[in-house]
Amino acid sequence: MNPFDEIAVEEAVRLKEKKIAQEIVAVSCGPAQSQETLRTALAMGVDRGIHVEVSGPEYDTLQPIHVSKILAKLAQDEKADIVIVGKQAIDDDSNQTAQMTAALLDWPQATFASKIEKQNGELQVTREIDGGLETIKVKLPAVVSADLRLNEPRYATLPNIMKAKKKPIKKVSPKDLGVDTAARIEVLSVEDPPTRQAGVILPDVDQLIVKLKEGGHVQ
Amino acid sequence: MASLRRLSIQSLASGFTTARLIKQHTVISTDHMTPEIKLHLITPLCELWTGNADNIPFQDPFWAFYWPGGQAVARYILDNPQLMQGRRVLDVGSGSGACAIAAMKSGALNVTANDIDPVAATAIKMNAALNAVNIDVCKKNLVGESCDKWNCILLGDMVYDAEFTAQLLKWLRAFRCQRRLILLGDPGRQALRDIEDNCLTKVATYCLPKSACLENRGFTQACVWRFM
Repeated sequence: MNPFDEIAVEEAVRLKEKKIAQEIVAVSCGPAQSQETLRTALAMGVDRGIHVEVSGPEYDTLQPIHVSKILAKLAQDEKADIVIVGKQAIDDDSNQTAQMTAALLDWPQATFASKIEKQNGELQVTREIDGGLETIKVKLPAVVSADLRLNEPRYATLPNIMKAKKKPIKKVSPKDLGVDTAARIEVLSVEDPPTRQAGVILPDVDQLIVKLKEGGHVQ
Repeated sequence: MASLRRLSIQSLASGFTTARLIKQHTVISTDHMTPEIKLHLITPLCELWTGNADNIPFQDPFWAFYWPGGQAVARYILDNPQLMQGRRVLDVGSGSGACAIAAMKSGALNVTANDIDPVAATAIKMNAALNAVNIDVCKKNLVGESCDKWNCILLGDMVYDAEFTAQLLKWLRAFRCQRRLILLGDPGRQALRDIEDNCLTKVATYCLPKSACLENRGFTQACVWRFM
């Protein structure tokens, strides 16, 4: 499971333990292996799972816009009050799904959450931003994205792993949800960063100046 | 121990081997809502607590944990022994046998613990002996079957999903009548909340002890319901 999503799942379970949430549903879009990810979520304390089956070439071109549409549709069908996701996936680092899902639903969003509290029927969320921390209030229903310091997910122990086996996972397809997964972006190339060149050790500063002049770095 | 692979149920040589395995991998625990009852359980003290379901010597050892619904039903029975006087009790999905043991200790006439897992059957017998009570064990799947032999049914933690819950309720509706007592324990699963008709009356609510919260992430309470 993507580490930020793990943090999101852990937070959802804690909200349930604090009686802020009543039921937690985990969603995963992908091939058959997604069921394993859902079982992990169930072992962490999620009540039930929904597997949106996407495989083969359709999966290769699945992008945040498609996932956002899927999540938005499911949020409406399930009458969710909070959609919580990891802030970004560690494969593409897009950091788009939470924001787009909120826009599609026309819900408020609280991204990069490092603390979530409920006060007077609203969520008070502390966000990690460049300058430090920002605390905002959002009305429910809302979309939240989890940042690194929100919590530390607990390791799933055997009793929870076993209980997860009995929890239900429903399987649906993007088509069932009325979502078209045709690619909207074409990936032209993916390259590794250039390998680092070996350095040279010089005996003194004069030699350094000679080398810098040779390389055209200094007049 | 490291070389032990998951044993298939068919290859278990005898109840003696199973009993030895159970003793090896569990501790006798009273760290739960019914400390009057001793049970062979896998706790944080055991190696298997952090095990993966695929590399342990048992297949789905549900009997090795004392689930919250079961704890609530057993607690309720021990606190209200008058309900068990003279009863012929069936404990469905008995697991460790805790509710069955609670019923016997509270004055039931006889008790049958029902669990389709043969390893659970051994665990139940061991736990009954530990608590000096006699319990019959039945390994047949009784859900849906006629239950005229009994006038009390106990269920803990059975309402996992909507489909099985519907099956269970259909069976229980056929069983219920004024002279029969049906008690169901659950930590508040959604499948129970979604039941439309009001056939269930809540009779008790308990806060779960820390050990139960650790084993059942997401739950902090368990309730007992009486089927009317």
